[in-house]
Amino acid sequence: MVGKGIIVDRELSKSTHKGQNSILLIEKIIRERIFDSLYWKQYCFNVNAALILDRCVEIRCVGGLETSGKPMGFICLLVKLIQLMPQREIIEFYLNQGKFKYLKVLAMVFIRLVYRDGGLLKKQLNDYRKVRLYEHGEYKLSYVDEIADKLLNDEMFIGLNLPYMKTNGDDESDDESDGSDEDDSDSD
Amino acid sequence: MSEKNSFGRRTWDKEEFSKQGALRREKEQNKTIEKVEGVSQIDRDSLNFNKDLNKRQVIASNVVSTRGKSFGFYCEVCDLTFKDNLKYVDHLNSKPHLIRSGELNQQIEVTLDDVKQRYEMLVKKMEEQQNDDEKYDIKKRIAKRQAFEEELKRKRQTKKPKPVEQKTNVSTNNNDKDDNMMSMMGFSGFGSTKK
Ligand SMILES: [Zn+2]
Repeated sequence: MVGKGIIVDRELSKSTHKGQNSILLIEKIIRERIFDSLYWKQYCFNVNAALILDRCVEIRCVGGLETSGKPMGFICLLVKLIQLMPQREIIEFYLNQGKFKYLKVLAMVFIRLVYRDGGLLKKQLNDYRKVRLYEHGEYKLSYVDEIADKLLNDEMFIGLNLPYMKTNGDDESDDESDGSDEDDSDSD
Repeated sequence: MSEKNSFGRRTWDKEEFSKQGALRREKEQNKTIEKVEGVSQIDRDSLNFNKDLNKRQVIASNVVSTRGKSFGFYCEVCDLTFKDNLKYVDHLNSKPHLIRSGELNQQIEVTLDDVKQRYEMLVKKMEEQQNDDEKYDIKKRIAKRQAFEEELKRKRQTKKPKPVEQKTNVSTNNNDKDDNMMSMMGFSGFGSTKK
């Protein structure tokens, strides 16, 4: 949207990262496609981090925009989560639950984009469950660990630019996530 | 609020007036739009836009209304019809509709416990559905098998009498006398018809 030379970004997130609104992690072209899509208007309106689960458990494919430019459910829900910016313990609950693998992948991509936590992603390298992946205009078979690997090493994933992430050599030094696990058990 | 400046012209306190205007507009809105009692929220899960594709819907002729029901997507809460699904969804997301349906102040901030609750509900739902599917499958298979066996029976029954009829027909055409004799004696023809 361009009005009087000012570029207006719609549907901003509640959170910012280094002074930039988190929704801007997603390229504008993709964002605009999503905000204009039926899926977004139908399912991503008036939802919170609990209600959005209804849709997250329905996904059957990991993907961004189709070649026609139509956004898939996966990326719509990802952008909605970035907009909602739930507490970290909620995202980690998505990640660690066992029943819905696409919900887990959603959390993984979120973690890669927003928290940029490589240690947390490395922990997912032992999940060999099959997932359907749509990339470069075609569907293919992939695995949760393969996607974790892509997120750790590639510069792009399903058409999204992955921001710079420190790659820490030692795997065992992620004390932060251990601490948050303990927090979870306290709150129960 | 309005004063005369040194030229005798009136000046307007723009800020004050815009405030008043906003207040008035808000009042008007609150007057015209009220929550409609006894309506349920339109369930977005069940909005399946392909469901009624290529189907004709009969619309009762006694519904005489300039807005009301006509062809397209109908909002029960507001009694409005929309010609295409995007406009319809835009309407469902619009403030007037949300006020009427009572969805306006949906809780955005949730706790981990809220999320866990929803998750458990969905897990239960999924497991129930799987059970239903299995039950349905077994019933379906039994029904299929029964139908197949009945079909088989029918085929057997229809097959048996057929050849007999043919034989008698053929034989009557050829030579009546012999045939009568033969049938009296209990057999129906030689060599010419192979078994
Ligand atoms: Zn309405």
